[in-house]
Amino acid sequence: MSTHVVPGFAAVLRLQIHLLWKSRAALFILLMLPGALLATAAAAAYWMPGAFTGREFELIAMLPFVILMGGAWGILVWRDEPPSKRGYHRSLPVDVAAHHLARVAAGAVWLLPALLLYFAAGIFVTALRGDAGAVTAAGPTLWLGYLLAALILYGMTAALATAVEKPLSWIVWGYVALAALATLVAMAGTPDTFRLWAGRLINRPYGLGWAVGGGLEIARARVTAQAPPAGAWFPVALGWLFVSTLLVFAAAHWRRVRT
Amino acid sequence: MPEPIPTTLPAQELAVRTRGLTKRYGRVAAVTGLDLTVPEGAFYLLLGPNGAGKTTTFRMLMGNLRPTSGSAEVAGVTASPAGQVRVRMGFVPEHQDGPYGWMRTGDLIRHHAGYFPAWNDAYARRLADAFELRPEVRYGKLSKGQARRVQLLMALAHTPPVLLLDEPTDGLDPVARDTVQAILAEHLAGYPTTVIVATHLVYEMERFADYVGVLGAGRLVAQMERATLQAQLRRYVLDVAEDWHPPLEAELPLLRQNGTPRERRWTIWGPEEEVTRRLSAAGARVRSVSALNLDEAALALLSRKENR
Repeated sequence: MSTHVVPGFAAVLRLQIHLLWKSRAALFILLMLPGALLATAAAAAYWMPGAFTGREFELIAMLPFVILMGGAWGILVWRDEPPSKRGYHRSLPVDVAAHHLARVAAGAVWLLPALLLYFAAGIFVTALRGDAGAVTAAGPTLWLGYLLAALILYGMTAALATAVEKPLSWIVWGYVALAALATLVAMAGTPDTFRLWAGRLINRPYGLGWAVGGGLEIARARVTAQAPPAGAWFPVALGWLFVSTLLVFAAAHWRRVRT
Repeated sequence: MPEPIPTTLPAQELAVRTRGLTKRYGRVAAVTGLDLTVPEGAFYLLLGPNGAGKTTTFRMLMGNLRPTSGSAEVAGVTASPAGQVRVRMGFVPEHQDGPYGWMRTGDLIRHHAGYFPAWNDAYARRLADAFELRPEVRYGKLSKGQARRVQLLMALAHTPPVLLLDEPTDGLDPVARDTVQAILAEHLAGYPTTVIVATHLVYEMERFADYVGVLGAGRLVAQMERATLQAQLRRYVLDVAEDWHPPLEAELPLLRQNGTPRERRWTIWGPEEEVTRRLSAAGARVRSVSALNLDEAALALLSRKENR
């Protein structure tokens, strides 16, 4: 029997997980943890006093860093390997799309323990301040919300980095283009339609902002014993995670064979 | 009348076969109607100038480039899905678009090995010793010659049935070239492999070649055994009168000519005896006949007006 057989996806995934470790990219995300934690504590202590009630402060302040970790990591998994420098992949016995998917999946494998460590650190700091009750009151929704937020953002930026040469430029220029579009629409005197559609993409009940921050809002309402925000959050977050995953698949299959 | 220059080989077991393989970019044809036939165990030299379509052909064979039409089969499998082809193939690319320059060479080789269940670790170590590789050095810090040796090791150590070498010695110093050739010779002696080499440095691989294909402007202008090529394509030195009228090309396939009005140097395709007889009948005195090396033969074949 021929031993020249194509390696399975699991084998390629293992290779990619190991590659991220060797590239020290994985180390980078682990190093982000103390930085994020420090920033969280600093923000909690000095920068926004009075913005929130004391109890849930640390937990809420974690959201931007969770988003940042997910978003930055999506780009870092392809560090120094834009599409034009992936010629090596094309000599390996793995479909290019499967290879891309394995890399993004390997990144997610590293992201999960990094997030769990960050959560653990957040809980520890909160407990040190004598607010352990806030953690209990927030419940698993908060952590699930953070997890989904990070994964959604990770998927989106990883899809971008899989498909284009300079993902950061795309993000910056995409933002500029949207801002310019918004200005133009406002100048044209028809801002309502634009606002309506932009709002639908961002806000409740189905927007990305709600998918990313909804879990936190619900948890915060629990901690502060306020009425929970209206609208289902979990299915929306899952829906956006699905969209994010679809984008990764589309990016992975983008020009897998040159035409 | 001499037989035409062959572009097909007699039926036999083939390691690589393409049928009408064509790649067009808009109106520009990179490769047109390629019928490559590489017998099992052959060392096949694919010759041609830059831009003749050699690299494009390799990309299609590896499933990295979708042909506009036609098909390719390597080691019994089609080029799609690509993984099935590439696992049976060792590939040394033309350019040093190397993988992971930050990685130590030893780690890179181990990483690469993970993709090939057939990887022969003992053989890889032997090759690493022969190439005098230093596993602790980062791949990106290697010289061109050292990087080439790593690529060759990665192409050979899973003992693939088919090897594709795209300009394998291009840019190497003489010592590195010699090492590459020696390792290649040793590999071929130990493992049954079909090799296709695309190169314009023909003389370096000439001693290995037993089949030759010549690509000109994306078309296969000749494909045959090396022995046939060297037997049929000869350079004739002729003494003629200044007002000599040469025979029509239809009667005598003249591929290349130079010399002076009274001393012509012609490269002609056909059996030597018959060509000599025709030249003599036309009034030329054949002073000498010599065989061509592959470099000269390729040049002669590509010099034909219709092959340019």
